Amino acid sequence: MSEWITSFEHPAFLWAGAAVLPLLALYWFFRRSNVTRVSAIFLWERPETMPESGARWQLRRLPLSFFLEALALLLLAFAAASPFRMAREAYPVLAVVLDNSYSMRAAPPGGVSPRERGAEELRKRLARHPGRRVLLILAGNEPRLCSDTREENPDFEKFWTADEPAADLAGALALARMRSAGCELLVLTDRRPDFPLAEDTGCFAAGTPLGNTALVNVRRGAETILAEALNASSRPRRVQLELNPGGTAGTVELSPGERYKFVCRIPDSALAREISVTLRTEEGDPLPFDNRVVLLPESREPVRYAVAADLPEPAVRELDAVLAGNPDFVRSDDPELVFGGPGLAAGNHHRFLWNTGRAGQGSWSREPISARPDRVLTRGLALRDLRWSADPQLRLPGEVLLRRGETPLLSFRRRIDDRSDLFLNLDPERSNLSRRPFWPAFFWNVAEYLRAERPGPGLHNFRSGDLIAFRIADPAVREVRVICPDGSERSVVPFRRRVLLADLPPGVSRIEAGEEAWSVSVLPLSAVESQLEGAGVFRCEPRRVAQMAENPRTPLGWIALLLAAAVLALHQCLLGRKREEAAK
Amino acid sequence: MNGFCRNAIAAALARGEGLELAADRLSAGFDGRRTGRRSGNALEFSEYREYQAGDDLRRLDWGVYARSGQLMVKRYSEEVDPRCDIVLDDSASMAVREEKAAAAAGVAALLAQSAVNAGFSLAVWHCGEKLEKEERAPFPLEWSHCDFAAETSPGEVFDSFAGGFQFRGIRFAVTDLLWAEEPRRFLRRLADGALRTVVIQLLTREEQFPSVSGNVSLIDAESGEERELMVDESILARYRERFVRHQELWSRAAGEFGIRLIRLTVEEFYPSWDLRELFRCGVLK
Repeated sequence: MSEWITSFEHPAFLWAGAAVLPLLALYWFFRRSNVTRVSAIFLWERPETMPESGARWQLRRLPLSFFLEALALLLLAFAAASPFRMAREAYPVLAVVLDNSYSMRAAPPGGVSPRERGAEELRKRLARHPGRRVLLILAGNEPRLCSDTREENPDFEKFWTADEPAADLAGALALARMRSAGCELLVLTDRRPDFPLAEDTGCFAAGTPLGNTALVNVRRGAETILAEALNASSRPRRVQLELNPGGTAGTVELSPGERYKFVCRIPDSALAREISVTLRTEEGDPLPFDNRVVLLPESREPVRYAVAADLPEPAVRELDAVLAGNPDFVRSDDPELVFGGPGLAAGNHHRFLWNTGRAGQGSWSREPISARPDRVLTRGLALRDLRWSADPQLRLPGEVLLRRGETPLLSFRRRIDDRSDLFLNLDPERSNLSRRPFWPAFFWNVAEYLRAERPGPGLHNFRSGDLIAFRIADPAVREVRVICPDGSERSVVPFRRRVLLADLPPGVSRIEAGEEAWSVSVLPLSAVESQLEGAGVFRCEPRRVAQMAENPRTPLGWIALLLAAAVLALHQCLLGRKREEAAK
Repeated sequence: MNGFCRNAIAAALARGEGLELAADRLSAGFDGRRTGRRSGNALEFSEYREYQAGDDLRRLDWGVYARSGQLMVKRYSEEVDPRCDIVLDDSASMAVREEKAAAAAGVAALLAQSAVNAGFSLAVWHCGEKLEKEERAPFPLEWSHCDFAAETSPGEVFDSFAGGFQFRGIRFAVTDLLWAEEPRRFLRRLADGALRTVVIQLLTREEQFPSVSGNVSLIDAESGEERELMVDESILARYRERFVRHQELWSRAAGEFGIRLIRLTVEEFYPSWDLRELFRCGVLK
């Protein structure tokens, strides 16, 4: 590997070398053969080489002056491009942003995908400056640095999978600038970015506008599957939805831009099995990737609850009213959650401690109720028109989630045994919560929260880009293994029995935590990414790279300039000699 | 025939109106309109001669015998029908410049008209890809050929010519003689059986003294052969040298066969139709 890298500050000036072509044309024009018809060609001398064979255009017919002028032109163009040498360490870093969205896989029949073209372009650029430091940043749902290397042939294709439903190019560029300020940036994508590129950023987009059909939304219920198909092309397309097992679920002709929802019943034999959903078109599809998903069975057990004897009668009444018709709750002798009064003892369950206040001590006001918006328990709660009577003197332990002025209304606390306690300050008799949407929504949130507290993922089908957060049962497990659909493995270290998985590849992955194991399916669905009509070709080079200007280097342009001057001097000298001979 | 040639023929015919082909040495033919050099059966008295055994007794002039006692035989001039063949080179080299083609067509037409004026039995031959006899020979403006597009030189055409010229007549050939084949074969066939043969060689000044220079792509008008040459003074000198040698070759061959070779330069002859050379050589009168 060389210690130096030679490059150009203004490589665009190298195109000036093309001026040799007009020069050549001028020479040929002025020295072209005049066609003359003669009566007796046998009277003319026979040339040394006859044109009956060999090249008709003979380079040797051009005079030396042409070659000297062409050489001078090339040298001047070379000098104008400002060549320079830089120590390998000082050469600007190249940060390559790889569009990892699945639209990079799209290719016309027999054609080449933008990803393959981008990979070829990247290989070319890396070969141009061996030894240069290269950052490879993947722009998917989230930008992430994949490689920081000086290798000439980094194996970028192993992680450039192009299987995500979004490409955060701007975020990836920001990450690149953060990692190496002043570096040269190159975006490899399939369409012109929808934001202006800075002067340090080049772009190589090699997409092709194509008509596509895709699954843009799929959801599996207990007995049905909802699948939404999109015709993202400018022509009507006939599509067919197939379930496996289950066979053809429906055929429909979609007009351009139309979305159609298929609702299919899951065969009884497949209720507990995975089902693949495939959208087929009669014409070829440029992107089969977004036409097939695999759905795992979703089983959501209701929260088992019990009501303690110390809970006052009005509260019991309200609870019965709201939980009786809620399929997310079921009364059980082995409860996960126990509703009770403030004095309920802790056990091997979560507690819902309801302080109904002492008679006559509750109060309510028109002061607005505020909530912590980023908690599961308060998600989507309608707080307007609530008449909430609470004990103003009561102080709730833990984190307050709802409050009215200084009065805490709802709080949450995690106990040392990793169970949760919910504290509610509510006098049900003087409140109107049970007659407002707040009340059932709150209990849906409670059920959602408690399900998430169970070991393993609460859901089994996720959209690509979703964070998969879950708990494990065994606190002794030190490592959670994830086996990806392609067989590769990654491991995650749980923190306080909690595991967070991000950027799982599309397909069914298996999660193993000690004795426990679960499967999750990641669905690559995105209506935006399946729109291929916007793909196209766009290329631009960075205009100014800060590291290029700031880092020490040795200019070489003056050598070319001197050589050009010498060639021109020689040219003049030869011309002068010729003129003298002509004068004689 | 293109318009340019037609105009040239019309102009030549106008210039040569009233001219006749000179035919003072004719001596052959029967029942013609001219008296031949030899004795014949014409009504025109020629001379007396002493009777010799075998003479036709009907030719004896009894009046002379009565006056002088000598047996004298009357002799009458032989009557001949003078013949003229004109061969016009129709090859593409004759049209290397329009003026050359026009001059050639004009000369041939002028000779044809003069022959008709002088009472000749006229035949015009177009020497294209083969020798073809013109059916409307006395009417040059109606000649069917004169397109000067043949890719074969007269030398090659005459090699395969089976004959057909009029016997003991005057033959003219209007050509540029610019072909590489040996001249004797052409001239022998042309002059074979002719009383008199005249070759009129038409050349442009450019053919005699070329002025091209620099890079030239020379294309032979007939064969299409192409040569790329960087023409300078030395190449021109060598051309002139070869040209002179070529002309000498033809002159020598023409001398051998008793053929009169008349050389005309197109630019001097056309469009003024300067006929002095033809008068000087005794072709026209």
